[in-house]
Amino acid sequence: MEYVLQTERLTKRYGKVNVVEDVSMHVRKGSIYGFIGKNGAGKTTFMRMVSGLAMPTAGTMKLFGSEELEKERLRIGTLIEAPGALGGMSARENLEVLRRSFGIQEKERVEEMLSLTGLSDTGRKKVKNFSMGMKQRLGIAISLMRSPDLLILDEPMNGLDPAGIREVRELLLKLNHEKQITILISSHILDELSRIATDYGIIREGRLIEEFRASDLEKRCRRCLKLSVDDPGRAAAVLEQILSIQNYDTPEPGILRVFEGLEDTAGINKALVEGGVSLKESYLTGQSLEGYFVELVGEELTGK
Amino acid sequence: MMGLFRAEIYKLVRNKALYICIAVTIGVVILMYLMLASAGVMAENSLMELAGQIFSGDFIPCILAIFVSIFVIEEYGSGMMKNVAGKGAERWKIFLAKLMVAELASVLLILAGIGAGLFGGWIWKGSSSFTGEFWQNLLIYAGLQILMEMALVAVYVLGSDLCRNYAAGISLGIAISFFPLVLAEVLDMKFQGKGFALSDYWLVTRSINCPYEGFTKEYVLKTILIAGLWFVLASGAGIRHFSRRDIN
Repeated sequence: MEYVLQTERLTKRYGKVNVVEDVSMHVRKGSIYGFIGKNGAGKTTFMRMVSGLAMPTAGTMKLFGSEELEKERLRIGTLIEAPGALGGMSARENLEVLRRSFGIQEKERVEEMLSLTGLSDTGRKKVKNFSMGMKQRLGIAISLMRSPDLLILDEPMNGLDPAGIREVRELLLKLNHEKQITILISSHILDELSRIATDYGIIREGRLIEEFRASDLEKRCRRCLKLSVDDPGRAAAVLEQILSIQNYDTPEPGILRVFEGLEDTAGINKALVEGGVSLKESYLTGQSLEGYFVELVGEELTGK
Repeated sequence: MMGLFRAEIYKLVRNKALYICIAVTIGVVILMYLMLASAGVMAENSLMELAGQIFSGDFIPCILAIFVSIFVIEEYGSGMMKNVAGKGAERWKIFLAKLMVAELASVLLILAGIGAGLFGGWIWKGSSSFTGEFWQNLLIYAGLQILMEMALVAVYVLGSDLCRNYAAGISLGIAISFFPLVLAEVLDMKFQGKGFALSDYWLVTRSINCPYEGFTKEYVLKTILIAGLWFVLASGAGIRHFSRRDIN
């Protein structure tokens, strides 16, 4: 497995508090890694350490398989917390500052980034007068200036309206699919995250408590057909004997949850009715990423 | 490194604070001339004294402190520093590029002050005062002043990097301009008669006490050494601090 980012027990301590503790993260090449955690869980601090903005107290990390972090960080684009732009300058001028800082020869790179993020027509408007959404898009443009192989985005959808969120989502998918950019992204908008992420990491109180793939999520969220019936015993017999379904349970009286054969729910309903079961309710349900997250963290997600 | 330097120049050229500080410096010189003229003491001062008036107090250190604080701290306030520091550029190079351009801006500011002084001198005292000896003295005087102010700028850059907050940075800069000056003079009085004057080694006092003419080789060399020492100490401490501290 080729990892773009691999950390080993990465820790950051401020005073006596471990803000990030023993985090061993694995970001696969080409993946979109959704980094989930409550406010103050340590997501931003972790991202800042990876970006070289904060020094780890302990632990190691590899970027693109190498421990030469200074060199490899040239291949990273970041948008951490607020976009770093000079308020007294226009979007174009801010990007020009970075073009010069990075020694990028192609002057057209600035226009390319403005166009990619939909900021071409902002003209001489100063960044301090930008809307939150425009600032976020500028932040993404800044992070893409160097054609990075790994994008680290901390809450890039903050402050965006639904159309803006969709635009960013499409942009990230495009960058991932067409340019093979690996993305490490944190967001509180878990529904949005679940539409793009291929891998997930959940952090709680500075500790990475789970890493899993999107393909595992469905299993974990236990998608099922929920049935409300008059006779659960008879319904169970129909499921087992007629439909050969073994994977079901009875969480409460009169309720059955069926975990297999979900591709033909109409067939299940028909067999139950034909088997003499009175079916009061039948619907597909499953835990969302948010539900799963809340279950893991054990509390309501704050800052949503 | 060149890229970082060019980017800093680009930012400097677009920095409103630079133009405001230059305008204020020129304005203060003109006001000073008007004040001297209205007091009728213009004739008592040589052109060299008039041109050097701007360095006779702590105005230049104060304005430099304000400009440097704004120029350095805006990188942190806006978050621009994250874009550069987090993208592979070595920290010492980033610091050095900022320092070099802050120095360049300070030289521009000082030259604007001297230029305004010369212009005022030309208006009030006429062109006959611009003798060969005057130019020679001015060259040495301005050179020494620039050296000392440049070293002071390195101290301000260090202070701004320590604070990373406008109010704190500007306050610290102004405090650096005022407080050691008074302290050194108090200590001079305490150690009077021991053949040692602490104020000789502090940049602001040395700048204020810099002679207008009759420069000895020893004085020039000592000034270069003191300025160089402060510059190296402040820059070294700044690079060390910037390289180790997290960037928010």
